[in-house]
Amino acid sequence: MVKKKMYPVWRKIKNKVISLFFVALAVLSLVALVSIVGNVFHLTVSPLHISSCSQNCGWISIWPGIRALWWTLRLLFIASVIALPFAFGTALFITEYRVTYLVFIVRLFVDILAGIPGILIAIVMYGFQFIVGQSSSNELFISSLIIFLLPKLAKGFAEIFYGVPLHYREVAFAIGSTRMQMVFKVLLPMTFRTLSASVLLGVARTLGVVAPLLLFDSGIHYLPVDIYHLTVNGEFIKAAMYSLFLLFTILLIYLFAAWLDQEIIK
Amino acid sequence: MVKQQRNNVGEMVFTTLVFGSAASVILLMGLIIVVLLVHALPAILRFGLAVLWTNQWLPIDQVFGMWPFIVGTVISSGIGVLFAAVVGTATAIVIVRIRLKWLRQLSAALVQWLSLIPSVVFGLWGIKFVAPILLQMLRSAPISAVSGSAEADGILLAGLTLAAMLLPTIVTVTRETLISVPPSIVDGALALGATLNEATLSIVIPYARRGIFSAILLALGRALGETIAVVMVIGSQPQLAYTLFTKTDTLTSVIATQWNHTQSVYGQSVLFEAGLLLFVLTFAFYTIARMYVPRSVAAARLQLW
Repeated sequence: MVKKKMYPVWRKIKNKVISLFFVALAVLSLVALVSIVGNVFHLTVSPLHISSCSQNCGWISIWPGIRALWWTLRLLFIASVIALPFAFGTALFITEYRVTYLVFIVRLFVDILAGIPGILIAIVMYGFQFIVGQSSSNELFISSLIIFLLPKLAKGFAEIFYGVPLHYREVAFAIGSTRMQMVFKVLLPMTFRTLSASVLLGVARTLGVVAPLLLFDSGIHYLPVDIYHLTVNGEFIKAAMYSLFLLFTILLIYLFAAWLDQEIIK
Repeated sequence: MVKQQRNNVGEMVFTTLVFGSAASVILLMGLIIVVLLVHALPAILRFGLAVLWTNQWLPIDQVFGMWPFIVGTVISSGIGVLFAAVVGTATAIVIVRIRLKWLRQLSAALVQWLSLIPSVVFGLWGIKFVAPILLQMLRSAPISAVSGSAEADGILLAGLTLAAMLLPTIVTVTRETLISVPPSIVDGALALGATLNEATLSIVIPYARRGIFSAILLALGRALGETIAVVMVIGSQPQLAYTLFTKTDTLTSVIATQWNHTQSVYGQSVLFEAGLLLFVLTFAFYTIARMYVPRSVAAARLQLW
């Protein structure tokens, strides 16, 4: 009771106004973010409200979406398998070797490549095939995915390795381990779950990219690219249904990653 | 002794592979620079730097000006980052203040999941959710007379779509920064008679300003490079944006939209020049950003940068 009287009225009002401002903005953000998923849901189920919906309804043609998702995961799997060792090696080079100009440059390049716009990757791949000769669409697709994925994974891995206390390494070296032994017997076992989560989150992010693949008119089904083309052609219901597959897949991957590395949420 | 030698061979192979991986990053960077330069060179030699400030884009007449796209990029990113920074920071403050642990973690997880949502879904949201609302507002307000446009597509819609896209990034990184503020200094402020809001505004936010700034910087980086969500909502017209509802293009969206429509001799080369400009901007931006952005575990793990 006494405490309540401590604040003058104008301060109480100011306090309430600030609280209201924060809550209003948070609600606005919640509405915006929920409406993104809600919009996809609404568009997907909207044909169900139309009583005359027959075989022509976009909702019924579910199989092309699943097939596109399967193709997408397959391409992504190949890209991840190729990018993974390079990313791992690059992260080790950045974190486990003496800091020289070379390490500084590699770290800078990884940072820049991790933030490079997807459309730049597309035009570089397009231009590259003119220099070395025509490549198949599959190769270009997978190469673009690798270029997108590699620096992001390398940066994520490097951050994880930085998180391992230095004295673990020092102890390993003190008892006569080589660098390779230290990496495989200390660093990897300690960070395995986090690394796995990082790979999964990298895959989840790459699962949604369109720009690096946009310029290749290939006939290969990559789910986000299909969604883009469907939206541009005005097939919103089908695009929303495909988006729902994509969101659900990303949610599953995220949940698995969060289970592996619970520090993400905490 | 034999074991030691075997280890040395293994160690050598391991070191070679690690150095080879690192070399692949340098090669990749070299490849990007060489390819962009080789293909942009004809346009650079023909038009010089004038393309940067030329106002018109008329490929049939061999007139290529990137100024409308540079302006489009700056304005749409500015709108997006401004909205996202204000709303995102407030949201992060509210999430951090939630007392129920499960609700706090659930909201954090929801935001993190949303940060992984592909840009194409945001584009779809912009077209089917925000555009009708904007159109409704345009029709009911006298603003349409000012803009002279009866369509929602344009730079404002692109900015709002970008804002929603950047929101999870800003909330995630800012939340991480706010959590790391020592509770003792907040308790100290409260003990001296400050309200919780006063403590937030005068103690917590100034303490976490570097983290908040880095969140905004990361969001700006994403906004500058975003292509698909922007292509879907900006209207794609190669003209300077005089109003918030002018259909225009950004540096990234012009490459995506004009790529298959360039029949002129220098058309594609100019687009490579736009790519080169984008690359130079990205290079400069992230070189500066890495000096100011403190290591963010959330950003690294969620591959936000």
